Amino acid sequence: MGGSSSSSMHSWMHRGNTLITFFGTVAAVLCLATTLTDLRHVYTMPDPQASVSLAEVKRLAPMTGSKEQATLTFSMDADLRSVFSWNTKQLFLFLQAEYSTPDSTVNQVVLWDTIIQQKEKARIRLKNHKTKYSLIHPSKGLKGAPMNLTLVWHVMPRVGFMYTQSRTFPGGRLPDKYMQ
Amino acid sequence: MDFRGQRNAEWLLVRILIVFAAVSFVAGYSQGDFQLMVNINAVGLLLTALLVIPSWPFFNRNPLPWLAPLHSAHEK
Repeated sequence: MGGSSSSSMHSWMHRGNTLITFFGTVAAVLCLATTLTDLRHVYTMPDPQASVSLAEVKRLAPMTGSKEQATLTFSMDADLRSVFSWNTKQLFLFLQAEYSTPDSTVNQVVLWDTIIQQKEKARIRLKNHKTKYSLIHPSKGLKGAPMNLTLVWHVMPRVGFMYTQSRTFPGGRLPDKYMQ
Repeated sequence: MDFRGQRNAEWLLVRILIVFAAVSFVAGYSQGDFQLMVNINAVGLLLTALLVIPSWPFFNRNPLPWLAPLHSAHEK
């Protein structure tokens, strides 16, 4: 492109083609430059603040098919506004319970999620909030299980790379006996 | 469009798009506004299309001089 040859410019359609093609190259360079600014943003942004705690275990009960279900509420105070750069399209934010039982040591269950599309909405305060999805364990073992709560956010850009950050908080232990 | 016009059109095309891209990047980044960058480039693309795609008279100022017709059998 941009050489001294004008052989591709003799008809209006050829000129249109040259224009669109070169515009594509320019757009790619802009995307690359934008990605570099995002890279800089990731390394220089203030740390996002978050704290999550288990508010209450409302219910812990057996389900059909030898499953178990826990119903929880949680509190959250998070400020993820610093994550937003000029190239951030949205955050996908979710809360995950991590616990171990005698039969399976690593279990992760998503309890709640949300999509944040504006920087101002990345300030989140929830008090005794009901989970969106209930905690269902496929076998027995929730009683007395130690649990962590992890808040994870995927940062989705307009152009460039996606990345993930998270914070883990202690969630205590589930009750030692069933409660309806 | 004559040969010199074609060369000039391509020269313009490349430089205008690059200037718009550079300005849009600086403006978008400094304002923290991605959409602004996109819009400035859209304007640049349209303007450049308007300038280089039609065969404007100023691209036709250097017509190729054709040889004079040879005398042929028809000419009697």
